[in-house]
Amino acid sequence: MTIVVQTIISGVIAGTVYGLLGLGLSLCYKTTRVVNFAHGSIAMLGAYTAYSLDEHGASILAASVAGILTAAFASAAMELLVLWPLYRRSLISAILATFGVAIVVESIIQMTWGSVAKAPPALLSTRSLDLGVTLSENDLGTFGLAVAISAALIVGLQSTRIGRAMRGVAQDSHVVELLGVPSRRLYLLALALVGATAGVAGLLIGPSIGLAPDSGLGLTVYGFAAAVLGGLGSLHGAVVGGILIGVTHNVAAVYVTGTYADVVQYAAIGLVLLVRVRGLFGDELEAVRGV
Amino acid sequence: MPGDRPALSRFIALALVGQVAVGLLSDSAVLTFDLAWVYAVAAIGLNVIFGLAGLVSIAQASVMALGAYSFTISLSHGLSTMSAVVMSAAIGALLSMGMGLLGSRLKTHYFILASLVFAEIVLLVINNAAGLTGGANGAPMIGDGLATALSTPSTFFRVGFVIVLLVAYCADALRCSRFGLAMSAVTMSEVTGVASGVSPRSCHLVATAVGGLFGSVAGAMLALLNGYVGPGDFGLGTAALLLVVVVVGGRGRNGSVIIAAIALTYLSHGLANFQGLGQLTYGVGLILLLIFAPDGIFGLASRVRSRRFNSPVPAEGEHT
Repeated sequence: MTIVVQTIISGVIAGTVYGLLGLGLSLCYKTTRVVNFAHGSIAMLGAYTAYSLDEHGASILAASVAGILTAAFASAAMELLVLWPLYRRSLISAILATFGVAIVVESIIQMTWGSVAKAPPALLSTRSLDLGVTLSENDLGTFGLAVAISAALIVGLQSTRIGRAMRGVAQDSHVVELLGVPSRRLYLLALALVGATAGVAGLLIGPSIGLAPDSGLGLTVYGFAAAVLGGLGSLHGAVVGGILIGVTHNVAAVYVTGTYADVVQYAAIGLVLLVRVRGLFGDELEAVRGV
Repeated sequence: MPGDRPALSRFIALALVGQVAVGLLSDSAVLTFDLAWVYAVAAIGLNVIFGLAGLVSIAQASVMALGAYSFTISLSHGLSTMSAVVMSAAIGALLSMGMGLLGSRLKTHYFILASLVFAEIVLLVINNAAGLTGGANGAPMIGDGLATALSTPSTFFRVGFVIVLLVAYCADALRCSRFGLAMSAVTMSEVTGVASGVSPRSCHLVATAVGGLFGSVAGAMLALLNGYVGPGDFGLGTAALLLVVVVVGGRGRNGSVIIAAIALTYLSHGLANFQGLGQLTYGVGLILLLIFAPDGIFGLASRVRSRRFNSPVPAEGEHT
């Protein structure tokens, strides 16, 4: 019984981070229609920056903030330099370009930090608390932070003026522009937010998976699995999707097969794409338009 | 362009030139060209999927892996080289068509995700089914006399070049056929295509099957050339290289895709010495191309020419 509970709890904790990755991807898709393949690599860039600063003696808080800002900056720079010139072209160009950005970010990481994997320290203590299951302060912190940031973003986009404008731009940028909303700045802001969530996710997941230049795309895939399962474009869907993915992945790894546990993610995306493209919470109109 | 029938005589003349040209090249140049033939065949396959059917696949490198592994495994079970090639082509075409089945329901970003799923599953299975594939270490290609003869670089150059031309000819013939024109129509506007009685599903299935066939033949060629198959040859880097070849060559143009494959294979060999910097150049180059030359380098000239006659205002609904 303890093993079941343990498996599920670790799955939920990992899943909230996948959900955060998925939320960033969903937000990017929602506002710009672009499927962002550079998301995971930008998360890695943020985690590497924080790791470096930490090594050089900065406090863990300062290093983390710098890492998140770096990711936000990288994502905003991508919007400004790469996506903006491509919005009027076919969507395929923009998506391929994010692939190019992923390659660029990966090579920058490789040139700056080398190809040997790094093991960043956990943000909080990893000593297990006495709760009957193996659960550390760091696990609880990861869970809390991921959930808090996801919730803040969802509520923020739902109720603030900027959030409403952002959703408007996503639905019809022409009309919203006629109403006097600067869509240009909103795209930039959205992508900076997307980058910041990537940075947080990278910081949270870094200590458990380690930092390697080429693991960015793997993170993107985790994020996509969460986002597609929840319904691409649905923010709370991404969070729920992430938790589901985390739990099924862990359960499969423990009870079915260790080596093929990753296949569960891919099978989940494949199944959703086959059976219900709009995912769990995606809206119907979106599915008709997107598919 | 659609409608122009490819001239068979031109392909035969080129093939003959290739047979003579191999004698004039240095050994290392022959080897680079050999590799370029492999990527050209795979890229032409990708061009059928991407250029003709409009589906962006990042799984073409994995389709190559399927071809290479099924070729090697067939050989190790005592099949002759020819039947092993047929076997691997059939497996590659069938599995790629399975991906196309998803493509018949999905477009653009959703299909990219589907191809990503496909690619990751193929790589996972190759890395983990060590008994069959040799796992991360790969497996040697042990073939009969024909396979050994084909493995020598100069013979590979001759035969490989003929295969490249043959594949390009077939792809051109498909593009100019009634069915190819129907495919282009569906790609440009699915509604109009359906209204004209074309089934998008069959278009996507045929395109992914043909693309998969070419891709797995390319994989079998790579196994022959290297005398070895390993998962390292079929990763993200190769998938990106193939996409870059198609983008540089220009969607739908097979002649320029061959030239792009040669140029980029040379370039990536040169850049490989710089590791991270080479990769950086690749990524930046891809982005710049997408921004400034969306129809490929060879399409840039004609775009500049036609731009003078077009209004600078983008057409309605271009951002689909």
